Amino acid sequence: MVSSGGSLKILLGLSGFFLKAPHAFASTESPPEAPSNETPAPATPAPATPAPATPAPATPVDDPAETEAAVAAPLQPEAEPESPYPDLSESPYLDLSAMPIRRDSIFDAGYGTRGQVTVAIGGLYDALDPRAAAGASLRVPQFTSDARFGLGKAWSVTAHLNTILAINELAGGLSVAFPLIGEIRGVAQFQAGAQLGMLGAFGFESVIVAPEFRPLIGLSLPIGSMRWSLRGELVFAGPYVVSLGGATNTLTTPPPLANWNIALILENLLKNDRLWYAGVIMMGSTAIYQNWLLFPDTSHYDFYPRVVGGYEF
Amino acid sequence: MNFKLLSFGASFVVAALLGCEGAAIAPIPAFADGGLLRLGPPLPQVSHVPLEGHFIVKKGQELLGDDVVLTTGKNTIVLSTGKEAGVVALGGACLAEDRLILEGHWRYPRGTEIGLVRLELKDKAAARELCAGSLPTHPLRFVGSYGQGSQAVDRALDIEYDAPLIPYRGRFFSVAHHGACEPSDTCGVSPNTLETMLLSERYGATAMEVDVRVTKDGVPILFHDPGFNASSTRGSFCRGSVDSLTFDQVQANCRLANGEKIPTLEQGLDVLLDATLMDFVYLDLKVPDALVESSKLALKINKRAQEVGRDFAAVVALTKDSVTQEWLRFKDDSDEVPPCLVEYDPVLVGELGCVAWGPTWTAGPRTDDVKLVRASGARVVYWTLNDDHFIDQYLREANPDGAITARTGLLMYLYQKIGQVPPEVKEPSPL
Repeated sequence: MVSSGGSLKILLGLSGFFLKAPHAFASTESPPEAPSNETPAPATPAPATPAPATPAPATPVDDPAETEAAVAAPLQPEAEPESPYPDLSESPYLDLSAMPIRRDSIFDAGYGTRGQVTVAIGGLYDALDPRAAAGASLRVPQFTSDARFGLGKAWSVTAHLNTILAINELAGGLSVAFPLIGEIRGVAQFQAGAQLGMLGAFGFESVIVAPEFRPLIGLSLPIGSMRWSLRGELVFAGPYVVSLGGATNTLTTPPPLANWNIALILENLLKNDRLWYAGVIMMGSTAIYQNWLLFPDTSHYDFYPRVVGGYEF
Repeated sequence: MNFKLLSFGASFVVAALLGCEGAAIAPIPAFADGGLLRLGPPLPQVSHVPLEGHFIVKKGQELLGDDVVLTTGKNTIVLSTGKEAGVVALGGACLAEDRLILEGHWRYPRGTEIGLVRLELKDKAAARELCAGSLPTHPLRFVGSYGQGSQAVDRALDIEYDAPLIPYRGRFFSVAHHGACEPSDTCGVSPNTLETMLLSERYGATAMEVDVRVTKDGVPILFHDPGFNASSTRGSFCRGSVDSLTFDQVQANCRLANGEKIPTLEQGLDVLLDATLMDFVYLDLKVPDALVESSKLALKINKRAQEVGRDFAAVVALTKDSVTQEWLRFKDDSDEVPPCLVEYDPVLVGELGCVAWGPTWTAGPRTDDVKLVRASGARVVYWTLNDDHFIDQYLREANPDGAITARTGLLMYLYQKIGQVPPEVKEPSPL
């Protein structure tokens, strides 16, 4: 009988077999000197993860000389498949920048690889309740884009842009990653920016501007070439300054917390060292954040899903 | 377990709970003992208007702010406040021993907060006068208490008359936006229903806007969206466009989100005329096909209003060019047309002889256009103005004759607080 823990290992092993590319996390800017299928040893190995004396038996080997050496070597006791990552659990304050250079991505907690730039473009879809839009069915895809610039020592500069119907969100900030347990890493991020909108049709002569502040925390777990991220974010916005045909004022009603959201995002590394991502975000939003039609003024939060997807390069 | 991991988990839970305020329905509460209103005859209608005025809040500022405006409707007394757009909907009854009791509920309509209210006129001589249908010669001061939800009324409330109101009946229109509550509100009453018409007046409306569409067999009904969908209606067979079902099919298969029936325009007009004291109804025609039958019904109810001596008018809103074209055809074919209101082009108001202009507030106050419309003898009623700051600004800059709003109490409060009486229209107007 196979225990559940055993089943998990088998599943993870299978996912690694099919999905894991040993060089997957190598930086595009710092490729390995020569193609190798060996698991790269950390530049500064963590004490708890000594580099193996010989490659793990399951690792395929291309070089005939290495194959012979492997055959000639005495059989090793059966070992756990080696993780490509150092074991961080006993070094909670390990400087992530000391880890081997890896490919940062947008939603993964990341490594803040110094100088590395990642840009994502994609789309999002909000399943808005028509009741929040005065009966109008506003089901149109939106554009989203993110960028990340590694500063080193697990810090990154991040930027975000997305559209929500007639309004745009633009924000930038800093994020820092840190080890939590095993291969699970945490991330904390803070972005500041603005909501900007303009509409000169459908009876609107409107411009709207509101500062926006977005604290975020998240967890990331790599499984093979996949990176799973669970992120929680709060979006504080306001005051909303609105100009209507030249009459400018601030909206009275929106509460400071415009949106909260919890996102589950999968990023998958491709052979060309780029990634696709897809995710579902459960959101609670004020009416003004959902559609900025200026009519709904309720202060409660409507709960609805957002679907996102895109490409990172 | 790693402490950091636990902290992160806890943070996620907190973030999730922040969203749990949700859009739960906040139904109107009732007194557990049935209330005191059932113990005596209702306050005479003639004694409602003498109660109107600005009142200072001596106790209960945390609920109502520093002052309230008391207006009245049919068997209805409304306290409107600038705090959270709050309203208090009350009914009055005359009890033994010269007791005048007001009971009802308060609501902050943008959220979910609601509770019970009970007040009693402190001066028994004034109560005796009002219950006899006479003008009060004694001071008006109400004392009592309020509560949260259906809980007991245990927090002190005390309001005292301060000053008279500026004229509002027939002069300034706080027009309920298809009812007392927006679809995104939590009051548990659907828009465009007979129920919400009655509730609108209890929340301070002096007029009402309704959305009119027409069924497959030509019956004008009150419904906003072009089709029946899961967010607005219930019923497995209640799907498709409004004009794809006959009225009988709509009646048999469709219920609104809170269980109400979809009424006909005729039913709605009857309720507004007979069961409220509203000044007018603004028929927002969503499709040109609704114009002819709606206009006939408007003519009919306006005649009936004249017969019973009510200042009430059904006004047809020309919402877009296709509706206007249909209205012009109807005008050519008919001896008589109901009063009209133009929503889009202010120049058309004078050209078509309409009684009002209904501009959207989202294009600004447009004060030059307001003057143009006023010069043609018509009135100006914005739609749909809900925000405190912008209501304040539009009242000051444009001095309109009213606005469609989801916050009828707030609009009336601000009109009474900082507004000016709109200029008289030059010619007799049905509004």
